[in-house]
Amino acid sequence: MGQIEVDTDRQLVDTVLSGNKNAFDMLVLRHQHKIYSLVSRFVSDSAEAEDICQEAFIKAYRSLSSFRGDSAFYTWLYRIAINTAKNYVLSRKRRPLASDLQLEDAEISEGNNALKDIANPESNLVTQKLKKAIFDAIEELPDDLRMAFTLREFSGLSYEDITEVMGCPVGTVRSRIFRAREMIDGKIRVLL
Amino acid sequence: MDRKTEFDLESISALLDGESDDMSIRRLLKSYDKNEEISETWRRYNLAQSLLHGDTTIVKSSLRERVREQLDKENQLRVSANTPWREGLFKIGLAASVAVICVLVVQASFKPTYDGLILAGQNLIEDAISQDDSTSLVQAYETSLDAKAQELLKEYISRIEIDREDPPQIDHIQESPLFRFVNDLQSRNKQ
Repeated sequence: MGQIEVDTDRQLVDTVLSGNKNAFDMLVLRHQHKIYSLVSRFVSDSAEAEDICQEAFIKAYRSLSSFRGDSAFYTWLYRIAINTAKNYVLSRKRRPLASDLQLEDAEISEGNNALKDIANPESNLVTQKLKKAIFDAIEELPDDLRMAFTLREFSGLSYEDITEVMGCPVGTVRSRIFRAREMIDGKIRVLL
Repeated sequence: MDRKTEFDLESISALLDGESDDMSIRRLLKSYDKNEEISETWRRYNLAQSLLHGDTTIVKSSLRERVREQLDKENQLRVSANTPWREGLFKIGLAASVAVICVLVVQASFKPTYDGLILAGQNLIEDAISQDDSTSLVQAYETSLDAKAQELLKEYISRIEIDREDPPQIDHIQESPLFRFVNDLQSRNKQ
């Protein structure tokens, strides 16, 4: 999955650099939840976390032309967000909530539950509800849609690879994955 | 959902998977401002993907709008701050080009060597001093400098570097005769 994410980000970054600001809007929408989750490990107040996220995205936009693609875009963005959060904590002379949290730890811990207790309980509840809704929706998908979706999302296969596994044209694979996403989206839309 | 929106949303799904080409992205972005469903679907698809692959915290307020507003403000400031000096810089460049062309034309007409010019200039200066003619002296002095001025001007132009963060102050240059001359030429062209 990692490689594919990089490609999508890279495409959007290139589109921003060619002058289309909407592509940066798409990058914000794509990464805002993960960045917010990361920043929330440094500050407990949600308004402060949002301010830091905003500043991090603005910094990223300003220095986007210096992004050379040596690392993945999200790694680059995470570094900006972590530095922004650290600077904020230092400027306010506050200790971060996880005082021993290092840049590398923060990047590695993304996706595990080590620091989960920092997020507020209400937010955790919503997150858990959404996750359950998503997994329930996947279970309810028709077989052909579920197979195409899971091969793509969990096995990380390309559309071309999925055509070989499922024995159908690439257009069909694309359509099945889209329809699967739409059915999942229908379940989470009501919860947001 | 109409056919076009469905097609756009399928493109979003493909983009999420890194299976979209540049043309599809451009087409999608064309509809982006007109159809809010595109950005909202993109947001939810990405949220669902993040949740599938790990924990994430949902942003309640519209962070995206705040970022967008901030960038719009900065761009407006940048555009308004940049326009006068860029325009001025263009005129300076044009003035410098006119000066270079004039020098080259003069040089091509007379085809003197650099040393010859210097020598000719010195002779003119000596004549002007001997005749005690101040006007001729100034003209002679300017003539003797042409070749050297040309070299210096070329060297100067080649060294010009513009710092976008700290644009040069050009107010005083705008009062110069050459600058006014270029302005006149431009306004005549516009008429």
